[in-house]
Amino acid sequence: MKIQFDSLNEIISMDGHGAYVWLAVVVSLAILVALLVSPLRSHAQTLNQLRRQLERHAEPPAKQRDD
Amino acid sequence: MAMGSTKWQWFYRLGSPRWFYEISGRWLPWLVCATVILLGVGLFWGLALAPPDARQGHSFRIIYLHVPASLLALAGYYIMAVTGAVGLIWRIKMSFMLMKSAAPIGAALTFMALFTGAVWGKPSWGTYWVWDARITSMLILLFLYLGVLALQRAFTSVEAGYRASAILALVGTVNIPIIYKSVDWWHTLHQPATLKLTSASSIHTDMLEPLVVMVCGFYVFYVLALCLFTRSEIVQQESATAWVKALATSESRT
Repeated sequence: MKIQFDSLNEIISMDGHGAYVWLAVVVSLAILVALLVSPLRSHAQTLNQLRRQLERHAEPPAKQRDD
Repeated sequence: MAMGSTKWQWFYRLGSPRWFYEISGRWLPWLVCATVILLGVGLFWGLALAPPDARQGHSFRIIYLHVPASLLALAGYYIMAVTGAVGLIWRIKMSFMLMKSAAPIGAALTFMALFTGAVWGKPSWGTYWVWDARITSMLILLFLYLGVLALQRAFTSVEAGYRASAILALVGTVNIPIIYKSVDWWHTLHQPATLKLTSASSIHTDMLEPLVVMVCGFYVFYVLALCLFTRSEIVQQESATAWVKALATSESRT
Protein backbone atom coordinates (compact mmCIF):
# COMPACT_ATOMS: atom_id res chain seq x y z
CA MET A 1 0.00 0.00 0.00
CA LYS A 2 1.41 3.37 -0.95
CA ILE A 3 0.29 6.93 -1.45
CA GLN A 4 -1.16 7.20 -4.94
CA PHE A 5 0.17 10.70 -5.59
CA ASP A 6 3.70 11.94 -6.16
CA SER A 7 3.26 15.58 -5.23
CA LEU A 8 0.95 17.92 -3.39
CA ASN A 9 -0.20 19.36 -6.70
CA GLU A 10 -1.26 15.91 -7.85
CA ILE A 11 -3.26 15.38 -4.68
CA ILE A 12 -5.00 18.69 -5.20
CA SER A 13 -5.72 18.19 -8.90
CA MET A 14 -6.44 14.40 -8.83
CA ASP A 15 -6.19 14.23 -12.63
CA GLY A 16 -8.82 16.90 -13.08
CA HIS A 17 -11.24 15.40 -10.53
CA GLY A 18 -9.76 17.26 -7.58
CA ALA A 19 -12.36 20.03 -7.58
CA TYR A 20 -15.20 17.50 -7.23
CA VAL A 21 -13.48 15.33 -4.63
CA TRP A 22 -12.30 18.21 -2.44
CA LEU A 23 -15.62 20.06 -2.67
CA ALA A 24 -17.34 16.89 -1.42
CA VAL A 25 -14.78 16.50 1.39
CA VAL A 26 -14.93 20.12 2.56
CA VAL A 27 -18.73 20.35 2.54
CA SER A 28 -19.09 16.97 4.29
CA LEU A 29 -16.62 17.86 7.03
CA ALA A 30 -18.34 21.22 7.51
CA ILE A 31 -21.68 19.42 7.96
CA LEU A 32 -20.19 16.96 10.47
CA VAL A 33 -18.59 19.75 12.52
CA ALA A 34 -21.82 21.76 12.46
CA LEU A 35 -23.72 18.71 13.76
CA LEU A 36 -21.49 18.67 16.85
CA VAL A 37 -21.15 22.41 17.44
CA SER A 38 -24.85 23.25 17.14
CA PRO A 39 -26.12 21.01 19.99
CA LEU A 40 -23.16 22.01 22.20
CA ARG A 41 -24.01 25.68 21.71
CA SER A 42 -27.72 25.29 22.40
CA HIS A 43 -26.87 23.14 25.45
CA ALA A 44 -24.62 25.85 26.90
CA GLN A 45 -27.16 28.54 25.99
CA THR A 46 -29.97 26.75 27.81
CA LEU A 47 -27.90 26.29 30.96
CA ASN A 48 -26.67 29.90 30.90
CA GLN A 49 -30.21 31.21 30.51
CA LEU A 50 -31.41 29.00 33.34
CA ARG A 51 -28.56 30.14 35.59
CA ARG A 52 -29.33 33.84 34.97
CA GLN A 53 -32.99 33.18 35.66
CA LEU A 54 -32.18 31.38 38.91
CA GLU A 55 -29.83 34.15 40.04
CA ARG A 56 -32.49 36.78 39.41
CA HIS A 57 -35.01 34.86 41.53
CA ALA A 58 -32.47 34.15 44.24
CA GLU A 59 -31.79 37.87 44.83
CA PRO A 60 -33.52 39.43 47.85
CA PRO A 61 -36.47 41.75 46.96
CA ALA A 62 -34.62 44.93 48.06
CA LYS A 63 -31.89 44.38 45.48
CA GLN A 64 -34.25 43.71 42.60
CA ARG A 65 -33.84 47.14 41.01
CA ASP A 66 -30.07 46.86 40.74
CA ASP A 67 -30.04 46.06 37.03
CA MET B 1 -39.32 3.83 42.46
CA ALA B 2 -39.72 0.24 43.60
CA MET B 3 -36.32 -0.65 44.95
CA GLY B 4 -37.26 -4.30 45.49
CA SER B 5 -37.69 -5.40 41.88
CA THR B 6 -34.18 -5.20 40.47
CA LYS B 7 -35.32 -7.11 37.40
CA TRP B 8 -37.16 -4.13 35.92
CA GLN B 9 -34.99 -1.39 37.34
CA TRP B 10 -32.84 -1.07 34.23
CA PHE B 11 -35.95 -0.66 32.12
CA TYR B 12 -37.25 2.23 34.21
CA ARG B 13 -33.81 3.81 34.31
CA LEU B 14 -33.66 3.71 30.50
CA GLY B 15 -36.64 6.02 30.50
CA SER B 16 -35.01 8.48 32.88
CA PRO B 17 -33.57 11.60 31.20
CA ARG B 18 -31.25 12.17 34.15
CA TRP B 19 -29.81 8.67 33.88
CA PHE B 20 -29.27 9.09 30.13
CA TYR B 21 -27.66 12.48 30.69
CA GLU B 22 -25.20 11.11 33.22
CA ILE B 23 -24.22 7.95 31.38
CA SER B 24 -23.91 9.66 28.00
CA GLY B 25 -21.68 12.27 29.64
CA ARG B 26 -19.26 9.47 30.49
CA TRP B 27 -19.37 8.16 26.90
CA LEU B 28 -18.59 11.48 25.23
CA PRO B 29 -14.75 11.50 25.47
CA TRP B 30 -14.55 7.95 24.10
CA LEU B 31 -16.97 8.71 21.28
CA VAL B 32 -14.99 11.82 20.31
CA CYS B 33 -11.70 9.86 20.26
CA ALA B 34 -13.16 6.99 18.23
CA THR B 35 -14.81 9.38 15.75
CA VAL B 36 -11.66 11.41 15.14
CA ILE B 37 -9.44 8.33 14.76
CA LEU B 38 -11.81 6.36 12.50
CA LEU B 39 -12.70 9.29 10.25
CA GLY B 40 -9.08 10.50 10.12
CA VAL B 41 -7.70 7.08 9.20
CA GLY B 42 -10.57 6.32 6.84
CA LEU B 43 -10.29 9.61 4.98
CA PHE B 44 -6.52 9.40 4.56
CA TRP B 45 -6.77 5.78 3.47
CA GLY B 46 -9.59 6.47 1.05
CA LEU B 47 -8.29 9.72 -0.38
CA ALA B 48 -4.58 8.95 -0.64
CA LEU B 49 -3.84 5.21 -0.28
CA ALA B 50 -6.68 3.44 -2.08
CA PRO B 51 -5.99 2.76 -5.77
CA PRO B 52 -7.91 4.92 -8.30
CA ASP B 53 -10.91 3.35 -10.03
CA ALA B 54 -10.19 1.88 -13.46
CA ARG B 55 -13.07 3.72 -15.14
CA GLN B 56 -13.83 6.67 -12.88
CA GLY B 57 -10.29 7.63 -11.91
CA HIS B 58 -9.98 9.64 -8.71
CA SER B 59 -13.57 10.90 -8.65
CA PHE B 60 -14.63 7.54 -7.20
CA ARG B 61 -13.01 8.63 -3.92
CA ILE B 62 -16.23 10.52 -3.17
CA ILE B 63 -17.64 7.06 -2.34
CA TYR B 64 -15.91 7.31 1.05
CA LEU B 65 -18.29 10.10 2.05
CA HIS B 66 -21.30 9.32 -0.12
CA VAL B 67 -21.93 5.72 0.97
CA PRO B 68 -21.48 6.22 4.75
CA ALA B 69 -23.65 9.36 4.69
CA SER B 70 -26.40 7.54 2.77
CA LEU B 71 -26.24 4.50 5.06
CA LEU B 72 -26.52 6.61 8.19
CA ALA B 73 -29.27 8.77 6.67
CA LEU B 74 -31.31 5.57 6.34
CA ALA B 75 -30.25 3.96 9.64
CA GLY B 76 -31.05 7.26 11.35
CA TYR B 77 -34.57 7.11 9.99
CA TYR B 78 -35.09 3.71 11.64
CA ILE B 79 -33.87 5.14 14.92
CA MET B 80 -36.22 8.11 14.59
CA ALA B 81 -39.22 5.93 13.69
CA VAL B 82 -38.57 3.31 16.39
CA THR B 83 -38.00 5.85 19.18
CA GLY B 84 -41.11 7.68 17.96
CA ALA B 85 -43.15 4.47 18.12
CA VAL B 86 -41.83 3.62 21.61
CA GLY B 87 -42.72 7.13 22.74
CA LEU B 88 -46.24 6.85 21.35
CA ILE B 89 -46.94 3.36 22.70
CA TRP B 90 -45.39 3.55 26.17
CA ARG B 91 -45.54 7.35 26.56
CA ILE B 92 -41.83 7.55 27.35
CA LYS B 93 -40.63 11.14 27.11
CA MET B 94 -36.98 10.07 26.88
CA SER B 95 -37.80 8.16 23.71
CA PHE B 96 -39.44 11.25 22.17
CA MET B 97 -36.34 13.28 23.01
CA LEU B 98 -34.18 10.79 21.09
CA MET B 99 -36.62 10.95 18.17
CA LYS B 100 -36.51 14.73 18.09
CA SER B 101 -32.69 14.66 18.18
CA ALA B 102 -32.49 12.17 15.31
CA ALA B 103 -34.32 14.55 12.94
CA PRO B 104 -31.66 17.28 12.42
CA ILE B 105 -28.85 14.72 12.18
CA GLY B 106 -30.79 12.67 9.64
CA ALA B 107 -31.65 15.74 7.59
CA ALA B 108 -28.01 16.86 7.51
CA LEU B 109 -26.74 13.40 6.54
CA THR B 110 -29.38 13.04 3.82
CA PHE B 111 -28.34 16.43 2.46
CA MET B 112 -24.71 15.27 2.58
CA ALA B 113 -25.61 12.11 0.64
CA LEU B 114 -27.44 14.14 -2.01
CA PHE B 115 -24.71 16.77 -2.23
CA THR B 116 -21.79 14.33 -2.52
CA GLY B 117 -23.86 12.32 -5.00
CA ALA B 118 -24.42 15.40 -7.15
CA VAL B 119 -20.73 16.32 -7.05
CA TRP B 120 -19.84 12.73 -7.96
CA GLY B 121 -22.45 12.62 -10.71
CA LYS B 122 -20.92 15.47 -12.69
CA PRO B 123 -17.61 13.78 -13.63
CA SER B 124 -19.05 10.25 -13.91
CA TRP B 125 -22.54 10.79 -15.41
CA GLY B 126 -22.05 14.24 -16.90
CA THR B 127 -24.83 15.74 -14.80
CA TYR B 128 -25.34 16.92 -11.23
CA TRP B 129 -28.89 15.76 -10.97
CA VAL B 130 -31.26 13.25 -12.57
CA TRP B 131 -34.75 12.30 -11.47
CA ASP B 132 -33.57 8.75 -10.91
CA ALA B 133 -35.59 6.53 -8.54
CA ARG B 134 -32.85 6.30 -5.90
CA ILE B 135 -32.10 10.01 -5.92
CA THR B 136 -35.76 11.05 -5.90
CA SER B 137 -36.59 8.74 -2.99
CA MET B 138 -33.61 10.17 -1.08
CA LEU B 139 -34.97 13.66 -1.73
CA ILE B 140 -38.30 12.52 -0.27
CA LEU B 141 -36.35 11.25 2.77
CA LEU B 142 -34.90 14.74 3.21
CA PHE B 143 -38.40 16.25 3.10
CA LEU B 144 -39.61 13.69 5.66
CA TYR B 145 -36.81 14.65 8.03
CA LEU B 146 -37.55 18.35 7.50
CA GLY B 147 -41.26 17.65 8.04
CA VAL B 148 -40.56 15.97 11.37
CA LEU B 149 -38.38 18.94 12.35
CA ALA B 150 -41.06 21.46 11.36
CA LEU B 151 -43.93 19.60 13.06
CA GLN B 152 -42.14 19.66 16.40
CA ARG B 153 -42.08 23.43 16.29
CA ALA B 154 -45.63 23.83 14.96
CA PHE B 155 -47.27 23.07 18.32
CA THR B 156 -47.28 25.18 21.44
CA SER B 157 -47.47 22.03 23.55
CA VAL B 158 -44.20 20.09 23.48
CA GLU B 159 -46.06 16.82 23.99
CA ALA B 160 -48.36 17.44 21.00
CA GLY B 161 -45.33 18.25 18.82
CA TYR B 162 -43.64 15.02 19.88
CA ARG B 163 -46.72 12.94 19.11
CA ALA B 164 -47.48 14.54 15.75
CA SER B 165 -43.90 14.26 14.50
CA ALA B 166 -43.66 10.65 15.71
CA ILE B 167 -46.75 9.82 13.65
CA LEU B 168 -45.24 11.49 10.58
CA ALA B 169 -41.98 9.58 11.15
CA LEU B 170 -43.91 6.29 11.30
CA VAL B 171 -45.93 7.04 8.17
CA GLY B 172 -42.71 7.97 6.35
CA THR B 173 -41.15 4.55 6.90
CA VAL B 174 -42.91 3.32 3.74
CA ASN B 175 -40.23 5.30 1.89
CA ILE B 176 -37.34 3.28 3.36
CA PRO B 177 -37.81 -0.04 1.50
CA ILE B 178 -38.46 2.00 -1.66
CA ILE B 179 -35.05 3.64 -1.29
CA TYR B 180 -33.32 0.31 -0.72
CA LYS B 181 -35.03 -1.41 -3.62
CA SER B 182 -35.05 1.55 -6.00
CA VAL B 183 -31.80 0.54 -7.71
CA ASP B 184 -33.14 -2.95 -8.34
CA TRP B 185 -36.73 -2.11 -9.28
CA TRP B 186 -35.90 0.68 -11.69
CA HIS B 187 -32.73 0.29 -13.72
CA THR B 188 -31.84 3.92 -14.06
CA LEU B 189 -28.62 5.84 -13.78
CA HIS B 190 -27.72 5.14 -10.14
CA GLN B 191 -25.50 2.08 -9.76
CA PRO B 192 -26.67 -0.90 -7.66
CA ALA B 193 -25.58 -1.21 -4.04
CA THR B 194 -21.84 -1.58 -3.51
CA LEU B 195 -22.08 -3.09 -0.03
CA LYS B 196 -24.15 -6.21 0.41
CA LEU B 197 -24.80 -8.14 3.58
CA THR B 198 -25.84 -11.39 1.96
CA SER B 199 -23.33 -11.73 -0.85
CA ALA B 200 -19.87 -10.56 -1.83
CA SER B 201 -19.51 -6.81 -2.30
CA SER B 202 -18.90 -5.58 -5.83
CA ILE B 203 -15.76 -3.70 -4.92
CA HIS B 204 -12.07 -4.60 -4.65
CA THR B 205 -10.71 -5.27 -1.15
CA ASP B 206 -8.21 -2.39 -1.38
CA MET B 207 -11.12 -0.03 -1.94
CA LEU B 208 -13.48 -1.80 0.45
CA GLU B 209 -11.33 -1.66 3.58
CA PRO B 210 -11.19 2.14 3.89
CA LEU B 211 -14.93 2.23 3.15
CA VAL B 212 -15.60 -0.09 6.09
CA VAL B 213 -13.50 2.19 8.32
CA MET B 214 -15.47 5.22 7.13
CA VAL B 215 -18.82 3.49 7.72
CA CYS B 216 -17.75 2.57 11.27
CA GLY B 217 -16.56 6.15 11.80
CA PHE B 218 -19.93 7.51 10.65
CA TYR B 219 -21.79 5.14 12.99
CA VAL B 220 -19.73 6.30 15.97
CA PHE B 221 -20.16 9.91 14.85
CA TYR B 222 -23.91 9.36 14.68
CA VAL B 223 -24.04 8.08 18.26
CA LEU B 224 -21.95 11.06 19.37
CA ALA B 225 -24.17 13.60 17.60
CA LEU B 226 -27.34 11.88 18.86
CA CYS B 227 -26.01 12.06 22.44
CA LEU B 228 -25.16 15.76 22.09
CA PHE B 229 -28.53 16.73 20.59
CA THR B 230 -30.40 14.62 23.16
CA ARG B 231 -28.45 16.10 26.08
CA SER B 232 -29.30 19.57 24.83
CA GLU B 233 -32.97 18.59 24.56
CA ILE B 234 -32.90 17.09 28.07
CA VAL B 235 -31.62 20.24 29.78
CA GLN B 236 -34.21 22.25 27.88
CA GLN B 237 -37.19 20.03 28.68
CA GLU B 238 -36.14 19.23 32.25
CA SER B 239 -35.10 22.75 33.21
CA ALA B 240 -37.69 22.81 36.01
CA THR B 241 -36.12 19.85 37.79
CA ALA B 242 -33.74 20.25 40.71
CA TRP B 243 -30.86 18.36 39.10
CA VAL B 244 -30.82 20.51 35.93
CA LYS B 245 -31.01 23.67 38.07
CA ALA B 246 -28.05 22.39 40.09
CA LEU B 247 -26.24 21.70 36.83
CA ALA B 248 -26.91 25.22 35.57
CA THR B 249 -25.60 26.91 38.70
CA SER B 250 -22.55 24.70 39.02
CA GLU B 251 -20.91 24.14 35.67
CA SER B 252 -22.16 26.57 33.03
CA ARG B 253 -20.00 29.58 33.92
CA THR B 254 -18.29 29.78 30.56
